[in-house]
Amino acid sequence: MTDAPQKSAVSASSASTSASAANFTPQFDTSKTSHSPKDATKTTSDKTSGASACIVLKDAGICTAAESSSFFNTMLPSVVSGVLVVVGWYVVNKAQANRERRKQIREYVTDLATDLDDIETLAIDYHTKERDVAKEHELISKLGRFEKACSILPRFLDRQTCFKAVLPEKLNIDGERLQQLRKAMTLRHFADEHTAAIVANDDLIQELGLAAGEMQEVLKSVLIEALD
Amino acid sequence: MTKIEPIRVNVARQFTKLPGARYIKLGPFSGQEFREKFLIEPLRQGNTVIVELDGVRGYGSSFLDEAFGGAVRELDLDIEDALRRLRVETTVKSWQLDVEEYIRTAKNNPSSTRT
Repeated sequence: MTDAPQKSAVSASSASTSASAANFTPQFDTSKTSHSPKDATKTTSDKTSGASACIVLKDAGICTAAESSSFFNTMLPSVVSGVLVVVGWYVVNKAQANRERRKQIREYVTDLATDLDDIETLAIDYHTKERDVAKEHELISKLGRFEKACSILPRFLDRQTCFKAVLPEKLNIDGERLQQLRKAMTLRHFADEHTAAIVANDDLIQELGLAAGEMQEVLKSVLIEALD
Repeated sequence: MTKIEPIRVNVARQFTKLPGARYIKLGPFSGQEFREKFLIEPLRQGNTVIVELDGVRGYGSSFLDEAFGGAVRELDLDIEDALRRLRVETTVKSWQLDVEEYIRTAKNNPSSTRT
């Protein structure tokens, strides 16, 4: 029974040289093209290898549950691992960017601390010597720059909607501390009130040093927050 | 009823980028000069004045005290009224706090406004 198609196939293959080619019977074609529902399912599934096609056929009653579950065995692990790779890349990328941002913040705050040291030295120098108008201007200018630089600090987190490098409130420099600092340096014994040099242990100098010290503490706490 | 728009003063554009000391006698662009040029008349007429502080090199506390606290002292304004009608806009929080404090404490320090 099963030899008949094979024989036909052999005879068909040599049809070009034999007269039997003219008598080519449809038996060969019939055996290859006849579709049982099972054959159809198999052929479609092989060609597409797609889950959707198989699911459709299964819904139509011509695909078995075992065949449809092949999607979960082959495609799903690939999809899951692909998603994990993307999520992993995003997390690592974000962590790297935040580390870089924290480094920038540390450098910025270190510069601020250096500026504050300069301002304190300048202010003490101004108050403990005869009046110098150029130093007055320099002090106001440096102090203004310092205050503006402190105000800019929270902007390091601009454009960060989530996974922020530092908690935003930690970058807010207390305005009252800055205010105390400026008042200590420029409110009393400044400009026309600077009639004579004051001694280094005067209350004004003590107050000035205290305000600068407190400001340094604030900057240090920001620095610590920005550590890795 | 027509609503009166507040008067806006931009220190950097309309006055100077280099604010000076407290009094006119000490040099140009003092707190006293700013007060007399931009604050006294509008406040006397009952207007609201909004002062934009940004854009300058920096302020000495004496400049801010003389300009804002001095206006309250000179016009003998009620503190709450002054806080309502004399406002500042700035990105530097400490300047804003300073001005508000000088307005609040203006009458505790009457001797500082001199001419």
